[in-house]
Amino acid sequence: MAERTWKDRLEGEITGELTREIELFETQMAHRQTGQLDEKVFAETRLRRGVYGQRYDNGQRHDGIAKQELGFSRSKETKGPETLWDAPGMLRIKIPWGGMTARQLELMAELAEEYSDRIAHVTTRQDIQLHFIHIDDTPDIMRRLASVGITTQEACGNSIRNVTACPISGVCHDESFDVSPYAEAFKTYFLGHPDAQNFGRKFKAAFSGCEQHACGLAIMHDMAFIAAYRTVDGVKQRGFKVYVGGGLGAVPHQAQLYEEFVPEHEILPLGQAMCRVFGRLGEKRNRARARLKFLVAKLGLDEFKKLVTEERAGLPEDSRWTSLLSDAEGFLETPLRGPSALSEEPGSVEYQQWFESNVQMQRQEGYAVVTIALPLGDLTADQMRGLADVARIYTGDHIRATVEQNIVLRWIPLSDLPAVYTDLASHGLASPGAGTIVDITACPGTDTCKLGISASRGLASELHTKLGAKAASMDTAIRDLRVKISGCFNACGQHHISDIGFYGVSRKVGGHNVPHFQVVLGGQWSENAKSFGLAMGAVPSKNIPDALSVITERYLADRQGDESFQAFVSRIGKVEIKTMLKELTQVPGYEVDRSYYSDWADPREYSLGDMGIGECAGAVVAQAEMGLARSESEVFEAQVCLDKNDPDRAAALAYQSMLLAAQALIREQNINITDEPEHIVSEFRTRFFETKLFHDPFAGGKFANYFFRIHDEGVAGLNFHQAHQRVEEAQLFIEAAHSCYARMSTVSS
Amino acid sequence: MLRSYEYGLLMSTAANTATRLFCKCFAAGDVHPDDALYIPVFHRWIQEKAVPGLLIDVADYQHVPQGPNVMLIAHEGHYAMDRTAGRLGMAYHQKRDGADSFERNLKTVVSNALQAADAMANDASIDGALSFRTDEFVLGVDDRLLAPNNADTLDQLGPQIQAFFVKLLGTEAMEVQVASDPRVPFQVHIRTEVTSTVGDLRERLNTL
Ligand code: SF4
Repeated sequence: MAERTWKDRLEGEITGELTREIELFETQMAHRQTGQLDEKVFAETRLRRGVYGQRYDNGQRHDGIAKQELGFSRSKETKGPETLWDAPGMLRIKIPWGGMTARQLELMAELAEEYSDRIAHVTTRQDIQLHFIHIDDTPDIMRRLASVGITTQEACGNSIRNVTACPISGVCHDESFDVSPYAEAFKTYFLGHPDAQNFGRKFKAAFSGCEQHACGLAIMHDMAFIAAYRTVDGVKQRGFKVYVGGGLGAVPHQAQLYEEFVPEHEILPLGQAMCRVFGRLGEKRNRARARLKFLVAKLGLDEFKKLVTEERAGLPEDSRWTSLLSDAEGFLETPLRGPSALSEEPGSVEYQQWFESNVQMQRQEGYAVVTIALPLGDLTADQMRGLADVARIYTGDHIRATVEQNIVLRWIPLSDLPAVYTDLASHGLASPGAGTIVDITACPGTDTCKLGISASRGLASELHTKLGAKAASMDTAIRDLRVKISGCFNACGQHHISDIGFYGVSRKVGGHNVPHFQVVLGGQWSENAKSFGLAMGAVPSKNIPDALSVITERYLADRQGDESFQAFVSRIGKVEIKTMLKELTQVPGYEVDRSYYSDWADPREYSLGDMGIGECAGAVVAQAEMGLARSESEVFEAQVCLDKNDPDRAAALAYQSMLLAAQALIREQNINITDEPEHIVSEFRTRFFETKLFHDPFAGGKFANYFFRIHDEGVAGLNFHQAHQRVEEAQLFIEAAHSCYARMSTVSS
Repeated sequence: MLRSYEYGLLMSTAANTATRLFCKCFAAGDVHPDDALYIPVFHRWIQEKAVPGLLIDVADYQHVPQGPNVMLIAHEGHYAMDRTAGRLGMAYHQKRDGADSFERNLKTVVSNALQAADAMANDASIDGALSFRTDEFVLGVDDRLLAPNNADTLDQLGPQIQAFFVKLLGTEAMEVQVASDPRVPFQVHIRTEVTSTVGDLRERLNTL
C-alpha cells in the first residue's frame, strides 16, 4: 500500500530537528487558521521559513481596466496583514554558498512541476525560488527538501539570510584558499542561533576568496569575509579580512573595513558578537533604517568596533567556534574524472563562442569550470533533470548557483568539454555569453514582487533577445559590460554594481502613469563590487533598449585607448549623459502611442495600483513573542498527543513548552540564556519568581510552581491523568508568561 | 517505448486519489503565430473570465527553451501555451481543489485544455493562424507520491485513461506511449488515426 502523505513516506529520512521544525510550522499554520495565532506573528514565522508573499496576495489585481477582487473562497483567512491565505506565494530555498548535488537539482525539478509553474529561478544570492506556491503545500515541500538536506529556514524575514560565496571557490587561480567550508560553518552555526533572532531587519553575509574579483560581492554585504593569510612566527595562518555595514537597497552603503585580519577561529565569535550588538542596538521601528549599515553609520565604525569587542569578550565559550572549522583546511572536492588535455579539434563556431565566454580554466591543471548562462535565472524542470544528468556523467555533485543567476559545473576534464557542450545544448543550456552584456541580471519586478514598479524581467527579456542577436559581432568593449535591472529602488537586481543598471520608477504624463527606468551608470562589479553607479535620469521603459544603444555606441566611439566604462562615464560627466539621453526621455501623448503606457510583456495599461506592502523584512516581531508562539505550538502538540493516547510524549512536550516560554522571557533580560533546562529554571527563579515579576495579580506564584514541579519531578512514567494535568498546567503557565511579557512591555514603553 | 494497453480491472488505489492531473493538446502544423501574441490573449481572458478557474496572472517564460512558454496562472491550475519537448500545445495543469474521483479530474483537465485551445484558436488576434490536433494528447499526473512514473501507476491509471480517451475520441485504435524516465511525472502520450474537431470533442466530452 502506497503512503498517502509525504510525512509518512519520508519518515526516518529527515533529521529529528528538521522534522520538529516542519511540524511546528504546521501547527502554527493550524493556529493561524483558527485565529489562535496573530497574523503579524504568523507572517514572521512563515517568512523565517522562506514562505514569502507575492504580488496580488491582498486579493486584488488591476486587470488593465479596473481593480478586481480575486474571489478566493477563503476570503477571510489571512497568512499575514493584508495577505490572503489562498493567494499564491513564493518559496525561497536557501542554497548555502550555492552548492548543490545532482539529486537536489532533480528535487527542485519535482517541486517546480508539482507545486509551482514548472520553472525554478536562481536568485542573486544563490537561492532558488519557486513561484505561485500555495501555503498549504509548503510543509510537504519542506519535508521533501529536508530529505535531501535542504532547509528553507531563515531564507526570509529578519534573520541571517543565505550565506553566499564565490562559486569557483577552491578551483580559482587567484584565491587565498577555498572559502566554501567557512561559509558552511557560518551557516551551520547561525542557523536558528538565539543571538540571530532579534534583528530589526535581515542580515547578509558573504565569503570571497580574493579581493580583486567580484564573485563574493563583499562590499555590498552586512558582513563579509575575504580570505587572507598572515605569517606569525614563521607560521602561515589562515584568516579573513572582514568588512561590515555594506548593503544595496534604496540607500546603498559600501561596507567598511572592520579588521585587516581575523584568524579563522575568531570568525564565528566575531559574527556572534556583531549579531548581539545589532540585535540590541539596531533600529526596530523604522524598517527603512534597520539594516546593520545604518547602525554602523550612526555609531561610527570605532564605536561599533568597541561595542563588538566588549561583547566578544563577554561571550560564553562555545566549542563549535572551532569544531565547525576543524575540517576546513583539509576540505577538498574530489573530481569524478581524471584531468585531461584540451582537444586539438577547434569545434563548431557555436562551440567556440561558448568556450570563449562560458569556460574558465581551473587552478587544477586539466580541469575547467563551465558556466550555464540562464536567461533571467530561469530553468525548466526538464532542464534541471538534464543538468543533473550532465553533472553525474562529468563532474559528480559539483554544481553551484551563482550571484549572477547562473549555474556552474566545476571539475570538468578539458577533453570532455565538447561532449559537455553537446549535452548541455541538447537541453537548451549551452547559450554563450556568460558574464557578458547579454547575461542580464533581473529581480522579479512587477512579475511577482509586491513592491515592483516596472517590469524588470520584461525589460531583461527584451534586452536579452535584442543583444543576443548581435552579440557575436559586438566589440569586446561592449560585450564585456554588465547590465543589471531592478524593478524598484530596493535594488534586488543589484543595479548599483553593474556598468549599466536600471531600476523601475514611474512618471505621470498627461494624467497617465508611464513605466520608466532610472538609468544608473558606472557601478563596478569587479573587486567585490567596489563602487556604486550614479543615477543619470529616468527613461520610459519602452525607450530603454534605445538608451542602451546610445550609451554603448557613444562609449565605443569616444573611448580613449582602453578606457574603462567607469572612467568613460566619469570623464564625460552626468550633464553630457543626460543630454545624450534627453530625446529618449520624451513620452508621446496617450493618443499618439499607447505602447508607452504599458510595460514590457504586459499589455495592461500601466498602473501602480497593484503595488502592495513588501515582506522583505516582515514586520518586526519581538523575539519574546516568537518564543511564546513557539511554546504555544508545543503545548498544542502535547494536546494532540493526549488525543492519540500518548501520555509520555504529551508530558514531555508540556515540559518543553514551559521551558520555551520561560526561556523567551529570560532572553529579554539575559541574552546568554542557554537551552539547558537547569539554566532556564535557575534563571527563571532568580529573575522572575523571586522578584515576583511573574506573579499573577490573583494567583501569585502558582503558575511558576507548576513549572518548578514538572522540572523537579520529571515526566517519566506519568499516567494519562497526570500527563493531562501537566498539559493543562503548561497551558496556564504559557498564559501567565504572555501576561508577564505584556506587563514588561508596558513598563518598558 | 511503445506499449499497446490491455484493459484491466479498475482498482481503488493511491494513484486513483491523485488530483494534480494535466493534459496537453498539440498545435497543428509547424508554423505558428509569434508566442508573444498569447500574452495579451491571456490577459484578456482574465478580464473576461473566459476559461474556468480563478484566473490570476500571466507568466512569460518565452526566454526559456522548451518550457511552459506563456502561462495563465489560476488558483486551481495553470494554463500554458506550452513548448515542452519542443512542441507547441495548450496545456492545463490542475493544482488544487480537485474532485474526489479520478475520472472527474480527468474530465476536468481535458475539458479545460480543450476549452482553452478552442478559445485560443478562435481568438480574433490569432487570426486563424493556429489550430489544434484532435488525434494526439498527453495526459499525466504531477504527483510523485501517489502516482510515480512506474509500472504500478500505469497498471492503476492506464486503463482508466485509455477508456476515457476511447470514449472521447470514438475509437479503440490508439497508440499509448509511456514516458520512460522514472523521474518525470507519470504521463501517457495518446495518438490515434481518427481526427475530429476541437468543438466536436468538447461536445462529446459533455456527454461523458
Ligand atoms: S528590487 Fe524592488 S521589485 Fe525587485 S525584487 Fe526587490 S523589492 Fe521587488
